[in-house]
Amino acid sequence: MTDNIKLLVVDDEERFLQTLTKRLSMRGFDVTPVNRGADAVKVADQQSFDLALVDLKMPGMSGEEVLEAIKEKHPDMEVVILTGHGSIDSAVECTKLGSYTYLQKPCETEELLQVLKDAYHKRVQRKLQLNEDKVNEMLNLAQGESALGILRKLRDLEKNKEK
Amino acid sequence: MDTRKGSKDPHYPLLKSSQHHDHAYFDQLRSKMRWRLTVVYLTPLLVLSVLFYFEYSRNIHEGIDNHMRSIAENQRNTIDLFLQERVSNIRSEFRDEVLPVPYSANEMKAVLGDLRRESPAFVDLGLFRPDGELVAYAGPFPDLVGKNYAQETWFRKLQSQKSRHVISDVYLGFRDKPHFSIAVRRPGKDGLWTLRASVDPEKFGEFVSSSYLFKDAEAFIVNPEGIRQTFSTRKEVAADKSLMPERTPETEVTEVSVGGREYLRALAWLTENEWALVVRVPEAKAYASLHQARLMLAGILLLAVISILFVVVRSSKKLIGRLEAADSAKETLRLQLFNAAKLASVGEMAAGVAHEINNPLAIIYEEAAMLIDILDPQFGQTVDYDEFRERLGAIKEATMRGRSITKKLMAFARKHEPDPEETDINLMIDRVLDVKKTDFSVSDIKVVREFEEGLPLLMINRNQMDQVFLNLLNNAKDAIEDDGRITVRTKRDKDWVRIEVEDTGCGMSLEVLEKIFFPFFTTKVVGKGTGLGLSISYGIVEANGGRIEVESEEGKGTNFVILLPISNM
Repeated sequence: MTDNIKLLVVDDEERFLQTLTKRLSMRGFDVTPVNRGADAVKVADQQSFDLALVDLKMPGMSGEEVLEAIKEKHPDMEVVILTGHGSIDSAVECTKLGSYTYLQKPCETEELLQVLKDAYHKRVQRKLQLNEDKVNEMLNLAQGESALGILRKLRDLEKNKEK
Repeated sequence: MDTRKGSKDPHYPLLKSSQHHDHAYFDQLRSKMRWRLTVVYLTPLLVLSVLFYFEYSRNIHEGIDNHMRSIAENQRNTIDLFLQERVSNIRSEFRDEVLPVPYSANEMKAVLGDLRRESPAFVDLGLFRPDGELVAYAGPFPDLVGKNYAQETWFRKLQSQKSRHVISDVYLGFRDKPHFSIAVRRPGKDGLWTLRASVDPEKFGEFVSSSYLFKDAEAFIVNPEGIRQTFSTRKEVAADKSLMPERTPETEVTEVSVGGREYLRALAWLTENEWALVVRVPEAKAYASLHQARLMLAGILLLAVISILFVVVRSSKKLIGRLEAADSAKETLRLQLFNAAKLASVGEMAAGVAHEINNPLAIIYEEAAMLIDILDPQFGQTVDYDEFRERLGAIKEATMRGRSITKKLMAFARKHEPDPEETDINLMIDRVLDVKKTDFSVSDIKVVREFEEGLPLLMINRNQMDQVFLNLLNNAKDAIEDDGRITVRTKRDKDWVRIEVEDTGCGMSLEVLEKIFFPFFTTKVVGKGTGLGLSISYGIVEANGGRIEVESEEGKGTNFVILLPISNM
């Protein structure tokens, strides 16, 4: 099930990043490790990821900023926070910014895997929901219309989206 | 509680060398305050009282003098009028029709009767021939008939002077009884005839002294030699010419001393003859009202002084008591604040420390888990000893990293150190900066150390000063939003060591600057700052004999300056 999960891991602690990457890969994740916040945002723009595992306290761009940037550009991507800092304030802050959940270092492998799987499941569910919504929308559009009418409506919809 | 010697109470570690004042200080303050208040209150009161008394007594003197003068003048006028009347009584009887010359004894008696009807003071009546012989007489001394008066002072005066009547001084004369004479002359066949009536000085004296002025006042007539012409109750005949002033038209009011007694005396000269009217009152009686006023003033003054002293003593006691209470309350509050701030900063630090320790722990966890994974056949990994060694080394390293953090923490977690100790300030600041190192680096804050080498050791309470620097560094960090710089400088400044913590943060407005040392004042968002850090730092620096100052420019940054004394070693 984890074979196809594309995961972006962001942490300035190099040793931790490498080992975690290796262990997650061994468990079937498609992991891209990044040790700078700004790089993470760049990589997320270039490739599509299902999930991101983000540290908070990093020099340069902080974890919160990464979270905010990713959520803004890729709202359907789930972001899990994994930090050594761990205060209630920052947890509340991250939840507000749209993180899936907030984990504290050191985190047990089982728990981490479970969270990542749940986050992925949520993403899949959301995608399915989105597809279903789209189908329903189309069905609504198509009701009582000729084929040409449907095409015209779809074109209008596209135009509206672009705007 | 003598706080200057330091308290052994573990809850009050800061009491030592604090700004708290002891009892002796307040006792001194109290007595100082009492003196000042007493002088301030009493001086104007006394000055006013003295001024008032002098003005009042001047007025009273003037009023009484005027009163005496007007009474004497009135009485003088009355006496003048009396004498004039007597003279004209006699003169009117001394006409041809009434009293022909020569005369008969019966006629004389009738005339005396007429005169006595006018005034009972008339004693007798005599008619003198131009050569001075008494030729006719009516009265109690018929033996006087035939006596010659040519050598009598009054007779000679009447004969020689221009005025046609004379009023003599009191004398004994032939009858050997005190009397005075009123005589008028008239030209007759063979010269100037004289009609004389003698007046009883006692009766006249009654008239003279029938004046109502003061109790115990006396009035009498004196001649220019100071000899009394009338007598009052006190039979005092001794003449004192030295007391007689020159004859003037003015009525004179003076204070005189007669026989050891002080009198207030009014002297008015009669116009009818050379006599003067004396009205005198013992001074004590004349100025009785003044005396009374003086007593009353003294009484009021005494009362005022007593009540002022009472109020001063009471209010100073109350005020100093309150001051003392407020001082100790302030001290207690300061201690509570210090402890609260300590707790708060422990909380703040805990979060930071957790991060520092959790990171190496996470490495250890991952490396260990990796080793387990390698040994797990399900992952199909080959066991490579080099990798094993490498991973175990990483675990070792991470462990040491954690230990170095707990070691630094221990430096802060030392028990109360009530006594200041010799401290290398550069080393101390280095240590604090070490603790904040990661915190600064993840916030992209550059730390610049500009330490002067070879600074003298300072006698300070390390535990407390650690907290001060931690506070200042935390504030500096919070003031810097995106990457910035914190410069920490130490240098010698005469008898002080000057420590500066300068940041390139947002700075503060003047309004904020004024309040930063107030407890609970904070510019941080709710829940982030307690508003205690700087007020506590201020207290600590003061308690260590130093000063804390701040310069700030909005948008440019802030510079906190701490001056610690070198000389207190």
